[in-house]
This record gives sequence, structure tokens and C-alpha cells, in this order.
Amino acid sequence: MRNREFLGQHELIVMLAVLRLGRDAYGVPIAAEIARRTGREMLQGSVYAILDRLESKGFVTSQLGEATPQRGGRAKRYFALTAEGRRQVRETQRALEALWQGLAKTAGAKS
Amino acid sequence: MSSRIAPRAATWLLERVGGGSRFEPLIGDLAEQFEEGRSRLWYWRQAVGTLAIDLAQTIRLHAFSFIAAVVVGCASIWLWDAGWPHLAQPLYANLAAVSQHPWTAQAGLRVAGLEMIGVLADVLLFVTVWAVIRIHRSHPRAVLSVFVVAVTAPYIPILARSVIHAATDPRVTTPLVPILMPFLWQALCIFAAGLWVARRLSFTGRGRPHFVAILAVSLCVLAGLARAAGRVGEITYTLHESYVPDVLNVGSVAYLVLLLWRPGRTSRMSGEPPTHAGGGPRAQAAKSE
Repeated sequence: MRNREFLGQHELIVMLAVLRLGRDAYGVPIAAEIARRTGREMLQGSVYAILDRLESKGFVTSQLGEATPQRGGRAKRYFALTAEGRRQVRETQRALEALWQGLAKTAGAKS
Repeated sequence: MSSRIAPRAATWLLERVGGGSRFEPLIGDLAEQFEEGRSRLWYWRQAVGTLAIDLAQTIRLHAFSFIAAVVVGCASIWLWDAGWPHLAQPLYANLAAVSQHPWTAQAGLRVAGLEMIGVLADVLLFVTVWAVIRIHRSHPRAVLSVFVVAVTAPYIPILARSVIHAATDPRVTTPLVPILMPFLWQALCIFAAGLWVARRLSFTGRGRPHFVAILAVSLCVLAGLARAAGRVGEITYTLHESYVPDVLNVGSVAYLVLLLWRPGRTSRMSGEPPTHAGGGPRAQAAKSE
């Protein structure tokens, strides 16, 4: 068995938000997407900390975009998943689905 | 067109403490959301939270050198705090009698000695900060901030006690500024030294004038301009009946120096040499004796 590190919950959430946003994935929409889909508001700094960590692992790349007056003349930083990052997301999804198999009925037995 | 200006102090903190260009896109994100209607409180929460997360990440990734730097710095300060009273003991001996004759050579030597100890403390502080940042070079601002908190935190109970004493004891008519001054002085010294060392370490291609300006400011601080400012505060303060917190600082040294040079004042020490219990007119001292 390969010694593989699974993505953490927050890492997975951020990577899925980046994946959903496509080319428009920079700090503000990423945090907004997470808040809209999960109902939890993450600190902007926390989102960046996770993205920095993912970039150092090679799962995400980033490049600076345009600067606008609305942003005080500061550039946006756009993020995108690398091929390795996409593979990690798929593997984590597969692992989670495998773990959930058979549990769905048990977990939903109450209702 | 931008119509709302984000809290400058919070942005400054992110820029300076957070560390340069790394936070630029993040500050832009916060500005964009602030412009769209977020509150100032939200902005501050984001800024402080971001700095806390960054600090936690730094400590987690570089735990050994970070903790080593802070421990070495605190140990150096602790050793000085423990050792300097022994160094100063001869200077405090029979101080009350000497203060009756402030223009003698003996009094002059005492003054010079006390000043030398003050300068030595400043130099040691600079060297300590330099060592702290050298040990943990990768995040000088973060390690400097934690070091300042670690060094200042033990004084907070003393400071609180002094403030409460000044506020509740009717015999003490102490303005708060002289009480706060030693603490502000220490924090200023640490930051001045730290920022100088941090700039010195990353000094590449900034141009010679920039470097010379930083060096000049640092030397001015070291040479005693800030000490002189502290003393002016103390002089104003000692025109009234007074109280000096029981810590090593330029304020209490300046106060003792002033006592030596002001006839009619009696200095009374309680227990340890550096502990200054209070000062008052000679008549009052005679009465209590």
C-alpha cells in the first residue's frame, strides 16, 4: 500500500472552491464560495494560509493578476489546481465514498 | 472609484508585522470587501486573525529556532535583571547622605555610575534583540513581536499595581505618563533595535542613504536621546511627591539621579538597593524618623 497523505477537511473545501470557480478563483470569491456552500465563514487569512500550504505541496499554483483602484492598487492572486492537485481531490473523494458506502442508510435511519 | 478608506492602522499592521509583499493580495482582498460594505470591525477582525494564523504557522513550521530565539532573549534579560543590582550596590550605598551634598566629586561619580549602568542596559538590550533575530532569521518581525510580549508581560502586574496605587492612594499624586514611560521606553528600545537588525539583515540594493539613515536613528536612540526624553518626563514628575515603580529602567535611574542633584530631597530605600520606596522633603523624612 502506498504511503499517501489524504487532504484535510479545510484543504479539501478550499480546493473544491477553487475548482468550482475556475479562472475566477482569487481570495474574495473563494471565501464567498465557501461561505455560500458550507454556511461557514472562513477568515481571509486562513484561506490564504491553506492555499500557501497547498502550493508548497504542489497541489495548487498561483499567479498575480490585475490591480484595481477598488483594491487600493493591489494585485489579485489567482489560484488553480495542478494535475497532482486534481488527482488528490479525486482520490480523497473516492476514499470518502468508500468509507460512506453502507453507512448512508444507517446514518439516515433516524429520518 | 474608491470612496471608503480601510482602517489604516490595521493595514499598516498587516504590511509591517505581516511581512512585506507576501500579504499584498490579501490586503487587496480585504480592501475590496471593505469597499463593498464590510464594517471596520470586520476589517480589524480579519487583520488580527490573519496575523495570529500567520504567527501560529510560523511557530509550527520553525518551532525550534523560534522558541530558542525567544528563550535566549528572555534568559539574557533575566540574567541582567538578576545581576545588575549587585553591580549597582556600591552606587546606592549611603545614598541619602550623599544627596545632601550634590556638588561633590563623590556625588558626581555616583551619577556617572548610574548613567553607565543605564547605557549598559541599553547596549545589552540591543545585543539581545540582535541575537534573537539572528537565531530566527526567517521571520524577524514575528519573533520580535513574540519576544516583546514575553519580555513585557511579567511587568504588567507591576504596572497595574502602580496604576491602581496611583489612582487609589490619596498621598500619591502620580501622573500616569511617568509610570508608563519605562515600559514604553523598553518596548521602543526593543523595536528600534529589532527593526534595525531586521533591515540590516535584508539590506540588499536599497541604497546607501537608506542604510545610513537607519544607522543614524539607531545610534541616536543608543546614544541617549530617548533617555533624555525620559528624564524630562521624570523632572516634571518629581516636582510633585512621587512614586517610582520597582523595575530597572531609565525612569527610575533618572529619578535617583535627580534626587542626588536636588538639595532638600531625601531618598529612602527599602530593602534591596534598587528598590526606591519614595521621595519627599527633608522635614517629612525627619518627622518619620
